[in-house]
Order: sequence, then structure tokens, then C-alpha cells
Amino acid sequence: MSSLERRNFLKATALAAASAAARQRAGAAAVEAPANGIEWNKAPCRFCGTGCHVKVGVREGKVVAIAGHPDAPVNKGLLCVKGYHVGGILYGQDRLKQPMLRRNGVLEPISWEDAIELAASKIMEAPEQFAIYGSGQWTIPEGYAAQKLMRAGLSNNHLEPNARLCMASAVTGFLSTYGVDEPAGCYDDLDTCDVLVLWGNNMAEMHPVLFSRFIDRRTRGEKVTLVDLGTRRTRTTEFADHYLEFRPQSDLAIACCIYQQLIERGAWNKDFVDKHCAFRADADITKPTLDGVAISFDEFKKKVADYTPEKVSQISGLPVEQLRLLGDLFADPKLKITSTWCMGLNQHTRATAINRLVHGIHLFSGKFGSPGNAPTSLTGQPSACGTAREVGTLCHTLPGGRLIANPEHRKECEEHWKVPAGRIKETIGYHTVLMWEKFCTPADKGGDIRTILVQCTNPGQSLPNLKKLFQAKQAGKFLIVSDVYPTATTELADLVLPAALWVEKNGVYGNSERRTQQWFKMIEPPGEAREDLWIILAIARKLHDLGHPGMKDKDGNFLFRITDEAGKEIPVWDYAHFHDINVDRVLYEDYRPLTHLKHKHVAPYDELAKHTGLRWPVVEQPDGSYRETRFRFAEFDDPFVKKGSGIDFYHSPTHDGRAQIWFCPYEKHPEEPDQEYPFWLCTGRVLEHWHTGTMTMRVPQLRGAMPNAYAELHPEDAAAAGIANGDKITLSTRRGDLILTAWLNGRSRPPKGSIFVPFFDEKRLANLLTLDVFCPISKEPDYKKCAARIRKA
Amino acid sequence: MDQYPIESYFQQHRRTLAVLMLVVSIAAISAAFRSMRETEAREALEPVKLPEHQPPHESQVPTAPRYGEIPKAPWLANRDWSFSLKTLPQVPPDPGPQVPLNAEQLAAALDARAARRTYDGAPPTIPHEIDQLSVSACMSCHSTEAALMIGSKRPATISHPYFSNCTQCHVPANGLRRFTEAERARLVVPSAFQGSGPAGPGTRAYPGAPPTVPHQLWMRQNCMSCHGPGREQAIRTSHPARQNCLQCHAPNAALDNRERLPNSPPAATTP
Repeated sequence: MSSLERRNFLKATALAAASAAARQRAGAAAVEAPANGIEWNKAPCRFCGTGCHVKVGVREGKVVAIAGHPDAPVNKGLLCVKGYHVGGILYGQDRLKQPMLRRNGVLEPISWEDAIELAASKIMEAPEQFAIYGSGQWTIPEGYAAQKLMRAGLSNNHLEPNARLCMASAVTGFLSTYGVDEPAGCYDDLDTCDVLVLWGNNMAEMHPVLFSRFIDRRTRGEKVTLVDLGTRRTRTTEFADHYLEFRPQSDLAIACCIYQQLIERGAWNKDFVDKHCAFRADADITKPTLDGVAISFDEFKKKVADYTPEKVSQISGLPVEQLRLLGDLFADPKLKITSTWCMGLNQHTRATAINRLVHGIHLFSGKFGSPGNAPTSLTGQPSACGTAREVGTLCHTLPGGRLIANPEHRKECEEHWKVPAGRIKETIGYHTVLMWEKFCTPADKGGDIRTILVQCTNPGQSLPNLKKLFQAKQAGKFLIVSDVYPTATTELADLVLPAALWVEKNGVYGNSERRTQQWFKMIEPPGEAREDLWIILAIARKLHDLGHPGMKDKDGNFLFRITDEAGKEIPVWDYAHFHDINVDRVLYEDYRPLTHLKHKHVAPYDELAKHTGLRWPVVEQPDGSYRETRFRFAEFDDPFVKKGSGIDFYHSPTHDGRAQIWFCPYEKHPEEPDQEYPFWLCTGRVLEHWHTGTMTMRVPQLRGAMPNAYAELHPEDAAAAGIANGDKITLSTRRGDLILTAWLNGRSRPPKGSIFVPFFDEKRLANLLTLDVFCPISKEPDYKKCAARIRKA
Repeated sequence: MDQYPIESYFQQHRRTLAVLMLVVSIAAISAAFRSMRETEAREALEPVKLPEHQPPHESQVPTAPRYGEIPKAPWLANRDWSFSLKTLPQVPPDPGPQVPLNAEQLAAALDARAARRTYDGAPPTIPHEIDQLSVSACMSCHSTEAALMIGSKRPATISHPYFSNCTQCHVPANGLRRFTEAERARLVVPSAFQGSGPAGPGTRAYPGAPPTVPHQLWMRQNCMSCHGPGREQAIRTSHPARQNCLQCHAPNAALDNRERLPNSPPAATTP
């Protein structure tokens, strides 16, 4: 930490701990003017799940420069083009600056007081028909406050993060394999593995800093092998030693083929499997469940026997030699192999199955539990892990890996939140697709979601099958949206609340490698924009004042009672007093003990303030320092592993320390191309834009590089349809049409019979076309595959 | 060395040339069609007036060449046109004493530099269209070894350690020109972001002392990529023969002068 950062940190911790009077003293402490007038402080980047740390340069209350944080273990000083321009996201000239209410179809300014009152009264009309749709971009305290408001206050489980659309399948994959969520390995594996296998993962564009961390090892003279399993050629493919272009959906068969080869060659890691694993499959393949049933090794062997390279070659379109190459790699006991994946496996109608299979291959071959050997899922959002998964803001989860369905878990939370027993409703809420379907269904036809509060996300652009799940919003339904810019979602919003963004507020994020990261507010939000956290607290207080009984704990205190050192309550719901105390720190420290049940010990807030993040479990040492954990379940690094066991899956689904090696069969996609719609359509992201482009489209450098969406076609498909490069085409699926510019031999090269469209462009909504069929276990929809057709526009 | 390097080159690269010819002819045809379209559009605005037809005088009519002479004819406009990077002129910069820029030139150079950066220290945007896929395309002009000239321009050389994935940080300022939809069909929002500008001159302890480095180095380590001979931007060193810049020019204490890594890709991936 530079001396400046340390000074800022000390100043901020002082702020956090002190009362209003003390704050004034500390704030007035002389801070010498830094060189160039620029004051530098640290923050995690606002964008993806990589979790790079940046240095933010502030001068006269404005962000004026960004640099990669040289001390950050994630990015070691490097960023990607989005990261270098992250400061620009704050200054688009159409920032939302005041609350607005839709009257006669037009959004008109109203006061914050009226806005909060209106929101609360809409909730009071039917508290059980209210839902919160949050985000993996929520900070941990924001998600925790929403969690507590819904479960402990409103006894309502209709709480979902947009992360359902992004990593819910990774969660079910981890849970059914290890009994506990989140990767065992970490980014350090990228520094030591011999082989990196990318499962449908265009890392060069989507996680560029991690990709460089791996591929730059070649610059230093190391030999590394990159295997790109994909359905189109991408920038990543250009660096790959082996490019395996498979037919969409056949990844299931390819994974099973690796099992088959390991058995046939007798090359699975018998010692590892005997000691640490068990086999599992679905009892009835038409009704898959999270738990499945135990099977014997012989049954497993029989099930995978069919997946010979010759047969899988037919299914996948991969040559037999390429399938054998995968067998060779996993059969070689000397190679250290890391697998990564992101949306390719997660947005899949058999997503849980393919997640399980990738874990299974690593366990079966023993490529697990030592540096460089790990199956690691990557996340797309900065706090999908921290806020969605760890805080448990999904419709069926509670904090720290707890489940609503488990009475013991409900009881623990009720006690922690000091609310009467039975306050937390025992039936789970609606998952994302169902929640929006209910919102878009008339109340008299079973549409029992009436009011939704949306924070930090843009479902009007990111939900699949938008016409059905968003644009069909019914009269009489009320949509409250807090956001920073006008979006496709605010188009239909009834109440729009202007939010503070990134370093305009305090925050804590959790990245893909279990690293919790913290930052302090550095600048003021524009106009009347306020923190999402305050919005939740203010709504809760208004509900309290309107007499909602749930807003009081069993002692009769306000659910979010926050006190100063003297025990006097601070009215944080009043914005004039919101900054009297560091509410982030208070809520985070309240949440922290809940992470211990599943050994996800997150670091104390004050420790995080000193660091560029720590990976949980973070355990206090005898000398009072805190030690992070890089490799979970491995005795040499994980403090919770039983001594002498080597590897210990201490949350095993079978409670015997064993991880589960799953068999899951190849099954056809529900909407394969046919005569009428002969193409596969895949949607996704591009390097320059982050998700729906709300922030990055407001940065001229990023918009300049990638100004609008396009359709990538194979030149022969284009020629057959009479389409030339740059022509306008109409792309249609069974759900809608979209006019796009055709791009041939562009950034990526889809094979014959497939099309790619990025979804960042709000003027060309790719999700008008996508399918809302989801994985039966994770409930995550498949944005990567549906049938489409093209014609010249 | 072959006596007819060009012919043997043609023989060796027949397939490449055929593809190239195809590409060129497609480009030419599409350009022709485009220009036709443009002409149509212009015609709609102002009708073109055709000059009255006059038969040319006999002396003005050139003699038709023989077909066999065409490939080597001296009047071919593109006879010396280089289509390969390997044949672009390689002109190493003059390492001798350099004439310092005058105040006006310096201001212009700094303006040009700032125009490509959203703040001082940001990765510069790319002022030309790029090969969307290949990094070796970047390195063929921008590597430290490259001394080629394109017209009178010398491409900037890499100033930081070699990272494999150039487009991770550098993106075209105006990319995808051909595929950019009309502005009204796009989301275009002005930005009020005001990045920090260049740091200004370094300080000198006394007249004649070497000036200090006034800017952060971030990850840059090759000072010559900006300050070297033949560079358009910023201050050119008056003594390019000296190699160890930081021996005399003290860096700012706040800079992050990190571990030195090679500027070049590993041998195996060098184009």
C-alpha cells in the first residue's frame, strides 16, 4: 500500500469507527496536497468477475485517471481496455440524477421522500406479491440488506439476482459434486498448470487479464498448452495449440468420452478415486435432481462405455484423433491441467450436467487438489460469487450456503437476525424466469408478482425471450428500477431511482476465486443520486413507519437498527445521517459470522481495507494476522482439512469426505436447427462492452471500437443467402426478428450453419431472439443455442 | 540469390497471389459498385453536366501496348507498389544528435498524443483499422525491431513489456468503419469525463542538470518508443546513443517501476 493509500485508509477507518463529531475531527486532519493534485486510492474494477484491482486517481472531486494496481495479486498491474476506461462510466451525460415517476406514460421528477413513500406503499398493498430482482453487481452489504429485508422482514422469498442467468449452473455443479459451492482452485493455477482447457470460453475477450496471466507465460519462455474447445473460432483460438470445434450441445458427449478413454486405458487415478470419490447419476434421466443416486463403479463403467471416440466423433463432429488427444492429456499423470469455463457451460439446457462432468473428469483423472490442477468456473459479474452465492440472494438460499428448505438453517438465520421463530417463509420463491413470467401475466391469470424492485441490472435487455418475459409487462403491475442511466428496463419502469455508481459509494465485492475486495467512497454521486444500500434501508424504514410488523425484530427494534459507540441509534434511513457511520462495515460485520457454517470465513472488513482482497476461508493466526486459502480441500493449504487426510471434501454431499463423480448422458437440445430454422444462433459478449453496455457504451473509446451489434456468419452461408459483408440481414427465430449488419471473416469465425450476435447493443436487442428454456436443476436459461434463419433485409 | 527475384517470388507464391488477386478484385468490384452508388446519390443532388464531345486529335491518342509488355511496362502506376511488409522500406532511425522540436512542434506533438488517450497513462487507441484476430499483425509494424516506414510515417514501437494479447488494452478508436450503423440508429451519449493531462516538464536541480522524469512510467520501460529518434511524439532525446535513461533522469518516487520483461514475443511466435 502506498503511503497515500495508507493515509486514506486510516482516514476512512477513522471515519467508519467514529461518531459524527469524531468524523469531523478526523476529516479535518491535514492531508497534504498530492503531486499533480491527483489523489490515488484502490478499488476493484466495476466490471467482470476477474476482480482486478485498480488505482483510481481523483482530482477536485472527479475521477481523472485509472491504473492497474501493481500490488494486486489478480492482475499484477495489468488491466483490459474496459478496466483502463472504467473511470469514464461515471460521466455519461445522461446520468440519472433525480427520482422519476411515470405519469400518463411520461417520467416526471419527484422528490426522494415521495419516491420512497410510493415504493413502500406499493409493497404494503401486497407484501407477498413483491419481488426484488438484484444483481451480481450488488455490493455484499447491498445484497445482505435486501436478503434481510425480504426473508426476515417481509417473510418473502421472491428474491433473485441476475446471476441466475449467469452462474446458477456452476453453483449446482459445485453443490452436487462437493456439497458446497465455489471453486477449490484459484487463479494461481493459471501460473502453474501445463495445460489449460477452455470449455466454450473465449477468455481472450471475456476474461482478458486472466488470459494474459496464462498466455504471457510463453513470453517468459515457459511451455504451456492451450486447448480451446469451442463452437466458433475466436481471438482465443488464435493462441490455442489445439482447437476442437464441436457441434453445439455435444460437450456432454465429449466429456463422457474422456471418462470412457480413461477407463479403457486403465488410466484413471485409482488411488485418488478410491480414497476421495464416489459415483453418482440421476435415477430417472427424464426427471433430473440435484442429489441423484449413488451408483457403483461398475454401473458407472457401463454407462460411459458407449461413449467411444468413434461414436462421440459422430455426435460432436470432432475427429477421433482430437478426442483421443483429450484422452491423452487427462491420462498423462505428469501433466497439470486446469479447466475453466463461463457461459458456454452455464447457459445450457443441460448445464448442471456438463458442469458435473467437467468436475468429474478432473476428479477421475486426479487432476485436482494440487497447484495447477483444478476445474474452475469463471463468473461474469464482479460479485456474482460474493453477493449472489455467498450472501445467498437466490430464491432458495440464505447467507453462507444455507438453504431455505432446511429448518435448521432458517432457525440459525432467525436467531442471528433476532426475529421470531417462523419469520422466514419455508417455501422457496420464484426463480428469475418464473418471476418475470408471473410479472408479465395478468393477476387474474395467476400472475401473482405485482411489484418488482430492480437494482444494478438491466433485465429489459438481458432476460431471454424479452417479448414474453419483459415487454409483456401487464397493466396494474409496478416496476421500480434503481439505476445509473436510462436503459431498456427504465423504458417500462413506473418509478426510477437514480443510483450512486462504483466509487461514488462504499462497497465490497467477491470475485471468481473466492477473493473478497473492498473500497471506499471517493467522489460524490451526481445530482440527487443515492446509494442502493440506502434505498433498501429507507424503504424498510418506511414500511416500519407504515406499520409493517416484519420491520421490527423480536425486541421491538427496527430490523436494521444501527447504533453508535454509545449505543444510541443512528437514523441511517435519513440520508442526512446515512454517512454518520460506515453502514457497509456494520452490515458486512453482521454478515461475516454467517459465513462460518460452510467454512467460507470471509476476512474482517478492516483487514480487507488494508489489502487488494483476501481469498476465503480467511483464518486468524495465533499472531493476530489473517491467512487466506488458495487451494480448498487440500491439506497443504486449507486449514479445515483433517490432518493426515491429504484431501478432504469436508462438506461432501454424502457426509463421508468424498466428492461425487457424476455420469450424465448426452441429450439433444430442445431446439435444434431444422428445415424451417436451419442455423444455430449463439449470443454473447465482446471485449469492449460489458454485458448490456449501459456503462461501456457511454465511454467514447469503447463505443468507438465497437459501436453496434452485428451478426457473424460463415461466408458460404452468407453467399447461399445472397448476403455480402456489411449487408443488412433479418435474423429470425421462433420468438422474434432482428435487423443486423452481416460481418463475415470478422472478429470471430462461426462454422457453417451457425451465427453469433453480441447482446450489448440496446438498439438491437439480441434477447428478442433467445430461448427461455432452462436447465431443469439450475433454472438458468440457454442463451447459447437456439434455431434461427436469415434472409437479406 | 535468384536472378529474377520477382518472378521466382511469383512462382513461389502463386496461391497466395491468386487469393490476393481475388481479394483485390472483389475489393475493386465492390469499390466500383460503391462509387456507383455514391455517384447516384450525388446525381440526385446536382445533375452532372457532360462536356461536349470532341474527337481527340490524332497525336493525343497513345499507341496501344503489346499484351506481353504490360507486366513490365514503365508507365504502370503501381509498378513499384509494395504489397508485402517484407518489401516496405526499412529505414533505421538516425542515431546521431537530434534537433529538438520547437515550442510549436512540441505542442502539436503533445496534442496528437493526448488525442489518442482518454487520460495520461491510458492505453492509446489505435488510429487505423486492425486485423481482428492476429496479434502478429500488430507486431510486424510495432515491434521494437521494426524499422519500416509507411510513406513518411514510422509506426510507434511497443513501450511496455510484451504482452501476448494486444487488443486486450488497445482498441481501434473508430473500429468497424464498414459495419458501423448510421449514427441515429446507435446509442451515442456524450461523456463529461475529463482525464488528467500530460504532466508537463520535469524539474532540473540547476541549469544544465538532467531533468527528472515528470510522468508516471506505469508499465512502460522502453523510453525510446516516445523519446527516441524519428519519433513524432513528445520530446526527442538529444543523445539517443545513450541507452540507460534512468541513470541520469531520476524518476518520480511515485512511479511503479516494475520488473523488466522482454519487449518482444518469444521466438516461436515472432512473425
